[in-house]
Amino acid sequence: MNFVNFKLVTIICEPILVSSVIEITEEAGATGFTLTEVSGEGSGERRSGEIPEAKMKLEVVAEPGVASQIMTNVATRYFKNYALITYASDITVLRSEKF
Amino acid sequence: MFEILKVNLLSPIVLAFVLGVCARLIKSELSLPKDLYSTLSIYLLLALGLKGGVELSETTFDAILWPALATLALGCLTPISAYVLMRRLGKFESVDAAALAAHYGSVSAVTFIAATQFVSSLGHSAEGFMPTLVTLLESPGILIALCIGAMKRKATTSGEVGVAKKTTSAVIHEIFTSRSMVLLLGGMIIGYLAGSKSYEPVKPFFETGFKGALVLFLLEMGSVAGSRLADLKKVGVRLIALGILIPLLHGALGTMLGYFAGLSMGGATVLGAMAASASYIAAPPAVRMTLPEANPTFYLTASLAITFPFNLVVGIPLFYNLASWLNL
Repeated sequence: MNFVNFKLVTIICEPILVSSVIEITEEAGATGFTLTEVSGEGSGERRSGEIPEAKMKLEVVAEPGVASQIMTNVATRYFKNYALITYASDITVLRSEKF
Repeated sequence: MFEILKVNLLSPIVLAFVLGVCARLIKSELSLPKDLYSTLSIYLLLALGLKGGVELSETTFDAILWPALATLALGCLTPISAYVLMRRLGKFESVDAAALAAHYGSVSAVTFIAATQFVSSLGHSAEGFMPTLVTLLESPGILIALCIGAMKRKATTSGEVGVAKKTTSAVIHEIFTSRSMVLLLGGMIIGYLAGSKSYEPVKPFFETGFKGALVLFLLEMGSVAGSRLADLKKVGVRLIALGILIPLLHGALGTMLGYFAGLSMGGATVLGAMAASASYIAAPPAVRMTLPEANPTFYLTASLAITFPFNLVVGIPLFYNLASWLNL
């Protein structure tokens, strides 16, 4: 088995941002994503304006370069005005050519 | 007048809303499952569209022309008046005023449905083409307010930075593909094409359960509005006052325009309620995308916790009274 080190980028944001964030991940070269509906609260909580309220969690498996590209773009475009957080963790994948 | 207020206050629709608010205030865990809430709103909007479409198929073009023009005029006027009032009397920043104007310029579908039910409970009926008017009133309001906001924004910031959707076409797409628009308009087209004869077999499903479904929906609306009550302290007296003044003004204007455009008493009342209402389904996401600096607490609290309950309890009977006074 060929184990390869990758990054898992997680973005938790208001639902209205999802389509735009997915565009960012695609532009950066990511090949896929996982989307889950989540709930929770954060320090900079601002009401998102959705009814019923919910947050979406977008997870992307990507090479380190692509991962930092995604995070940088998300941060510069949306951190100022929207409720979202983004972080990356180290993961190990099989079949790395899939990503 | 007080008789009508009392009838309205003691209707299951209003009482269910009050129960929802109370449930939230006593911190009950009551809330409708999210999927049921969506299902109910689909059912209500489609039922309304279908019924309107069937009635539209029996209406002449002349009958709808003036009411449609009056509605378009309202749609262009209300966002501007709301913006000016929010700016001058409310002393809000221009983005916040524009965000609020987008809400007051468009329509709350539930207020519209509640008004339709209210007039029919008093033995009147609104014209069958009213759902068409909802779709006409909805879009210009949001668009005009967002344009005001975008212009003011450009003057103060570096334009498009930090906005979720950049182009106007993306926003227009968002408005026209929103659930309420697709269901109302789509339902009307289906009803219009099908006509009353082929509507007959599905009619029991869409009409018998309608009022019951509305009661359930209002229960959840009450709970949503109740959860915003705490925010009333944050938004200040000015917004609370304007959240009542603007619907009074727009409602009176809508009722009068409806009356002079030839609508029945029921129709004029419903148009008044539509003009008075503030959207909380189509407008918030559109505003969030284009005017992200605007504070959501202002517009959500204003439309959900102030204007919606006000119209439901006091506004609709008032507009009905105005319409019946005009009809004397």
